[in-house]
Amino acid sequence: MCKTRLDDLDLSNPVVVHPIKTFPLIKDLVTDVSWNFEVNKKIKGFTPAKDSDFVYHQEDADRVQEFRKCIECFLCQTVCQVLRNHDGHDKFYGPRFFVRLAGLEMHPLDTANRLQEIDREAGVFLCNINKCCTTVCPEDIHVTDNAIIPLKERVIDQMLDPILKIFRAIVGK
Amino acid sequence: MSHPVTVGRIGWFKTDRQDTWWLEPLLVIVGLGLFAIYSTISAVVLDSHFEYGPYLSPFYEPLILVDWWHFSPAILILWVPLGFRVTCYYYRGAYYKAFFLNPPACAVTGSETKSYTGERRFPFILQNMHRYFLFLALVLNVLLWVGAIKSLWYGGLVGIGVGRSRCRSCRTSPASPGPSGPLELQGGQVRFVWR
Ligand code: SF4
Ligand code: SF4
Repeated sequence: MCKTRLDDLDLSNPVVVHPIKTFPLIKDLVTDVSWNFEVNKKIKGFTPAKDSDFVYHQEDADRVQEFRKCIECFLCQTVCQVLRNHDGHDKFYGPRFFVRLAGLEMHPLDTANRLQEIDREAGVFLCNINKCCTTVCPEDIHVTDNAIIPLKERVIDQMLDPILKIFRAIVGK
Repeated sequence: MSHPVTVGRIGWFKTDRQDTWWLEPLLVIVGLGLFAIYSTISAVVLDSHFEYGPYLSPFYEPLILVDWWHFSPAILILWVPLGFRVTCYYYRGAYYKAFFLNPPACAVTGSETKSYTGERRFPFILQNMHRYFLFLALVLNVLLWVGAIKSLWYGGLVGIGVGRSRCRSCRTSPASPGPSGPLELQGGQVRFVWR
């Protein structure tokens, strides 16, 4: 992984560098990660209200700032068991895109609702929270704790929780 | 959209990792397994040795003794901390690896199935009830604190018995070792939680 320091390795043995595994190999260490960019296009971008006041405070930005550190290395995508072991590319966007979705959903000025997409097309519930994505992220983004779990809880709040559904039916919201 | 070829689908426990990746799931299997055996014996088998003086086995607190229940009184209570722990995000991540081999460790091949449905279908969709167990556990926590304070009184004096140093309320406290906090409270609409 690109976080590994050479001085942490036993240099009496050869150091072997492999290409990432979840995407097709083109040549040497180069893989075809174009699938990720296709997924990215499906996500509804930043949608502020027409009359948005774009002056806001650092503390409003704090929570989403972490997600902007992503360098799209796709290490999280390659280690994620849903893509890597279960071949879930047709029903799961992968951790990198939960980072993007969380950044949009938690943005104080964004008004779009992506919860249905997060549940269905993005398949957030296929994630089993094993934190492999967090472990490998070179930018130290807490992908599971700060992006995926809050997204799951938002979907549960709005779409799955039967008690909240009954409560909303009663109060009419 | 071009569909990537997954290269890693080559059987069980295949990996290029050279570290002791198997140690963590093994420790979880041994640790959680032993705790499950110990707690079952303590709560279900030894169900007549749970009280001594002001002391009450933490598996039995708060003690519910009712005529219509003919089994261990611990069972009437334990489903709350058990449900809380089983559905806890932290434990889920750990036992999916150790017991379901899904995956056994990061970048190690394990269970592989195209029909994998994760936590969106029965039975694992029930994991999303964690929030309910959290609220029940918070109520139970208050009762456990009351019990812990009561156990400090012995023969009209304040004291602490040897062997009674474990805080009972740690059993369900969201801040107890393991989970990273009550994420279900934070994940919804509360904005500033990780500062
Ligand atoms: S925590 Fe979820 S998204 Fe991250 S690697 Fe594991 S299964 Fe994939
Ligand atoms: S590992 Fe981290 S930096 Fe790399 S794509 Fe994933 S979230 Fe972004």
